[in-house]
Formats: sequence, C-alpha cells, structure tokens
Amino acid sequence: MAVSSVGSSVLSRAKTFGMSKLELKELLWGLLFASPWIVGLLAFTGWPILSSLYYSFTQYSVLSASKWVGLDNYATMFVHDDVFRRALYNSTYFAIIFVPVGIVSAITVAMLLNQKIRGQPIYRTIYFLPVLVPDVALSILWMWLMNPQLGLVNSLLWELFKIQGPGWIADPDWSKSAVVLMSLWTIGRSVVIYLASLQDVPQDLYDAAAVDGTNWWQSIRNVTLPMISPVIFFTFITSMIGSLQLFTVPYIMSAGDGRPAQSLMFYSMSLYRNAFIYFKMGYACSMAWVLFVIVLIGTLLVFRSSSRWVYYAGG
Amino acid sequence: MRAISLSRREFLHWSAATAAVLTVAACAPKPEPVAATEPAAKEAEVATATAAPAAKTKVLYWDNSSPESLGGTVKEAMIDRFRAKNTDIELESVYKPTTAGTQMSEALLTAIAAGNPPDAAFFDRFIVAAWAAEDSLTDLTDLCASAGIEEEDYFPFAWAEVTGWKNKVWALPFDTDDRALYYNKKLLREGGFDPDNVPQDLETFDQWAEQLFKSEGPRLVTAGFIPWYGQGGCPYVWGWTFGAKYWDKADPSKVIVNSDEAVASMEWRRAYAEKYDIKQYESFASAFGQEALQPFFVDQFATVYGGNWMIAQLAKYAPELEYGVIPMPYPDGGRIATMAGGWAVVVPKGAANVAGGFKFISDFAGPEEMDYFCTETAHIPTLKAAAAKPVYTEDPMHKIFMDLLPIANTRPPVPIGQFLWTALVEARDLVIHGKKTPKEALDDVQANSMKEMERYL
Repeated sequence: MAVSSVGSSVLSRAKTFGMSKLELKELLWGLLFASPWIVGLLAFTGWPILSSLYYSFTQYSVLSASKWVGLDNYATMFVHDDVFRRALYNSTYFAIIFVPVGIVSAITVAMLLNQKIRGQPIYRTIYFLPVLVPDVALSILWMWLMNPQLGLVNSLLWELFKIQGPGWIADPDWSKSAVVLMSLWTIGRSVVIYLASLQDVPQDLYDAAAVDGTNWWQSIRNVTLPMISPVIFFTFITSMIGSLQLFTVPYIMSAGDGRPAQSLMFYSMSLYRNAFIYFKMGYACSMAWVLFVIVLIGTLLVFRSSSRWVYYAGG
Repeated sequence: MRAISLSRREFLHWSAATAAVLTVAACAPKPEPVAATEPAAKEAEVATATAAPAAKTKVLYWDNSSPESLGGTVKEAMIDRFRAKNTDIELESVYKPTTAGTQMSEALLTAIAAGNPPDAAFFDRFIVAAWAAEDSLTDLTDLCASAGIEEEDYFPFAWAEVTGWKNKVWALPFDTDDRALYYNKKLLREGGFDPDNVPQDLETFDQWAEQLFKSEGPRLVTAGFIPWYGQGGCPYVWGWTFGAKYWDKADPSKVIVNSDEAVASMEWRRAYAEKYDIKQYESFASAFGQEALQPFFVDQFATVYGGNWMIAQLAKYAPELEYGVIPMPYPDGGRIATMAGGWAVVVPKGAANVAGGFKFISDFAGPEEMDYFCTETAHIPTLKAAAAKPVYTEDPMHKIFMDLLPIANTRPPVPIGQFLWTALVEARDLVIHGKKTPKEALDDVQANSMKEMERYL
C-alpha cells in the first residue's frame, strides 16, 4: 500500500513535471504572458540566425533558389578574397584603436562629470546629447568638419596651433583615425554608465586612502578603477563587439565603396556589398558567421582574463 | 452597496485576454478602402468587398529621381499625362532612391525576393543583364512582339544591353547619354592656350592640362584635368581610349580586363596621380559641391570629361560660363571613347499587374514621352526615330554628342556587371594611391571576375 501511494505520487509529480500543481499553473500563466516575446525571439531572431547558418553553406542570390556548396564559401573567403582580408584588417585596426581610447575617454569624462560643481546636471546632459544624433547625420556632419580644405578641424588646427592638418577622410592613412575621432563623440552612453558606477564607490575607501597619504592618481589607480572594473569589463566587451560591427559611419563617409584606397572598407560594408550588390547572400552569411566566431573568441578571451583584473566588491 | 472588486490575478487574466483579442483584431487584413466622394457613396460602402463601380486596376511604379530634381519634375508631368489618358488605371508613383555608390536599389531587390515588387521600375540599363540572370525581371519578349516594339527601332548598343542575357528582352530602353570633353574657354585663354584649337591627341592634351593646374601654396585651386573625376570615374572609358576591348558578343562568357591596352590606360592614370600628389587631389575633391556647385561650373576644373546632360545644367546654373566641347582626345592606337549609359524601365518578376506595368512602361518609354523627357532634360532618346529630330542637333554643342552615338561604347552586359564595375573602380583607386601596380591590379580583377562568372556558366 505504501508502495502504491509512493508510486501514485511519483506519477502525479511526473505529470506535473516535478512541480506542485500550483507551481505548474503559475509557470503556464507566466509563459503565456511571455509568449509574444518568446514567439518574436524565435521567429525574428532565432530562425534568421539558424537560416543564415544554413545559407552560409550555399550559393544563394535571394532571387533564385539556394544551391548547396559546402565549405566553398569559407574556402574562398580565406584563400581568394583580398577584399575580405582588407576589410577584416580595417575593422580590427579600428577596434584595437577605438576600444581602449573610448574607454579611457569615457572614464575620464565620467570622473570629471562626477565632480560636485554648479550646473553638473547640465553638463551631464550636454555630454549625453550626441548619442541621440542619428548615425547618418553624425557622419555627414563630421565629414564636413573634417574636410581637409573647408572643415573646422583643420582651420582650428591652423589658426590655433599653426599645424597643417592631415587629409582626414581624404587620406587613406588618416581615414580610420578620422572615424575613431568621430566615434568618440558618441561615448556618452558609456559615460552615463560609468557615472552610475562611480557613485557606487564607497566614500570610506577614499577616506582610508587619504589617511594613508595617497595622491589623486594613486587613489584612482587603487580605489576607483578596481571598484568600477566590472563596468569596465562590460563596456570593453560591448565596445569590442560594436566596433567590429561598425557599418553606418564608414559607409556614409566613403560613399559605400571604402574610398580612399579601400581604407574605409569595413567588414560589415563588404558583407553588405556581397549580400545585396553581388547577389552572393550565401557568401555574406558565411562572412557573418566568421565575424561571429571572431567576436566570440575575443569575448571569451576577455572573460578568461577577467578573473585577473575584475574585482567584484560583492564577493 | 459593495463595489465590485477584482483580485489582482483576475484583473491580469482579463486584461491579457482583452489584449490578445485586440491584437488579433488589429492583425486582421484591412477591408477595401471606400471610393471617395461619390453620389452613390452608400452603395459603394455596401459593395466594399467587391471592386468599386469603375474597376480601376492598380499599377505601382518606383522611380529613382528625387521629386525636386529636374528629372523628377519632368517625369511627374509624363506620369500625369499617362493618368489622364488611362482613367482605368490607378498609377501610383513612389520615389525610391538608388543606393550610394551603385546604380541599384536594394529596396527593389528585397521587394522582388519577398514576392511583392512594384509593377514597373526605373532601372539602370547596364545592370539589366545581371538582374535578368538572377531571374528578377519579367521576360518582355512576347509583350514587345505584340506591341510592335522591335530591335530596329533602337540604337544597337541600347538593344544589346537589354537583351544581353540569353537574347530575350528584359527591359525597354529609355534614355541614353554620352560623354565628351568639356573645356572652360576663359581658363584656357588665361593659361595661354587657344580655346578653338584643343588638341585631339592625348599627349599634347596632357601637356595642356599640366599647365592649367593652379595651386595656392599646397592647396589645389584649379585642376587642368583629373581623369578619374566627373564621368571619367567610369573605369571602362580610359581602357576604350587606349583601344581596349572588354567583352566580345561572340563569346559572352568571357571578359578581358587586363589586356595590354587596359593596363596602358591604368599607367596613364597613375602618371596623373603621381604628377600632382594624390592626397592633394583627394582633399581638393572632398570639397566638391553638387548641382549648381559642380566643380566645372565654379572654375575648379579647367576641363572635365562630362556627359551631354551638363549642357542643360550649364544653361541653368552657369549661363555665363564660356565653354566648348570636343570628343575625348586619344593616343595612337586608341579611339574616341564615349560611353553611352542610360536608363530603362522594367517589369520586375512577380509583379501583381504585369499587363498594367507593361502598358505603363511602353507608354513611358514610347516615342512621345521619351522625346519629351529627353528634350526637357538634355538627354538623348534610344529610339532612332526620336533621336533623328533636329532639336537634338540644333545646339552645336549637343550636335557633337549626337555625332558620337554611332561609335558609342557600352559597358559589357554580363551577369557580373556590378561586380566588375566595383572591382575596376577599386583597382583604379588602389593604383592611384600607389598600393598596387596597374598590371597587378588588373590581373587580380581578371582572376576574380572569371571566378565570379563561373556561377552563370
């Protein structure tokens, strides 16, 4: 009798997946409420991602049916396509320069905005405003500011410092630096996040440091930076991902073809061209997956190293 | 009296149910829109499910001319006339710009792929073969036969471009244009040259151009001639100037981009880049304006390889500018290069109203409307009968362009047309920046192009 009652209770728990009836009921209602989002995620994100993985092994023009070619696309990419190599180099170069410069600038600006001065909220707003400017407007504006002959940047360099400014976007050696400078205008997003984390640094740590006789640089190095290191970790990863995927700015600045001399042919621009102009959607999908793997490896490396420099105050 | 109270759970359940019902209702297909102010409006409302009394078929047309531009306003007049003549057709014209750096619109590509393209679209004639090879255009051969549209009506190059793929008709040629060398008489005189005796051989011309460059310190102010600006940006033109042949109709599966003549033309361009420091050119060019501020109109170019449509623009924006036109100079063993480009109208594959779309494009690209468009915008008709009209040769400048038509070249109508164009432009860009030698650059393009062609053979 005891056996059968255990058996029946096991059965009834099996029918409700090991939860009580109430728990199951709650779960189902919760899933129902979340179902629009879940359906959306599966249909509009999950399905396209899996499709693109499939298409990366095919020759697909979007207009005609796909043709299976196995690893051909990947082979072509690494062996034959010099535009691919150029594009990967450009995107990586940009990421390597922009990520550290962006983080350092954002932290500096955040620390400055954290000072208790009059009009602090106004300054904070001003530094966030460029984030709201659409990318296309941003690109066109900065194309004119950095115009080597007519732009403000070169005029100011000449008037104030008597420096003959470089060709910026007209010079293949300076065009990526121009894009870096331009992208620094949009660090406002990171600044806001850093501001929040700076305010979480406990004041008594600074007081203890002051008692120990540290100067401003030492207290930044030993108190501020470790305490905000989780946030630095976060922005490092998101910044790395974003800069490897950068599209709008170089596309507008180079009129779509990476001029001058392919210096602004970024990875996603080359991908876009292959997909929509050369009718090689399959190849573009394989480029997308290669980028995904590169970003994944980069992210994993950062995660691995994080145990050494990220300090979680919560323990 | 006790107020009705809902527990929180019940409230959430009811609001979820309501939201679901509303979502389903919102996602339901819309009923047919009611016909506007009719005296029998009530009957029309009742008969909403069936078509309105005067059964109007819909034709959707995508055009790439901005409504404010000259082309846009002229086309609008043409479309209005079509509407007046065809009251049984409801024609909707939508502005869809082409993508920067190309002549195509990926809005059109995705619409065709999704199966709901417009019924007619304005389309660059040079990519007709590429898109036809991808099965994205409706075959118009039979429709043309029944409408009496024939090969002999058109200039050979125009017909060749629209029938380049498998010898079927994929588009109706619309306008064409060609190119020659414009020169600023005042700047030539100031440079000590005789503007009525511009040399026809390239070497002497290069010497003239060199003298016409003016700088203020390191900054270029006026350029005598820069081969890759203006319409010289077309990478095929200089190959033709040096006598190269890129494509052979007898053997359409091959393109030859690295012939000796093509390499020579690339060398010549590189020589220009090296003479005057490419960085100065680029920074000079980055300040160029458009429309009224085009460099030739504001004395930034002494000479430029430009299209025949500049005549209308010069009349509009710089009427006092004294200019002349000659066919582009060429070296020994070369020939006069004039590229004939131009547009066409197509019926995309999968259009809902193929008959309506064809009716519209055969009118839009028909003799009267084509003539109207070309005279208003200083373009040239592709229909021989329309092009023979004296209005095109009245202006002595324009006559030069018309006389060049019989020897005009077109870009190879091959399926890899867009790839080839961007590859050649990139190759030129790399060469003038000193990143590759001309032979290297063109050999690479040749190898890559043949690989791309494999998909279509």
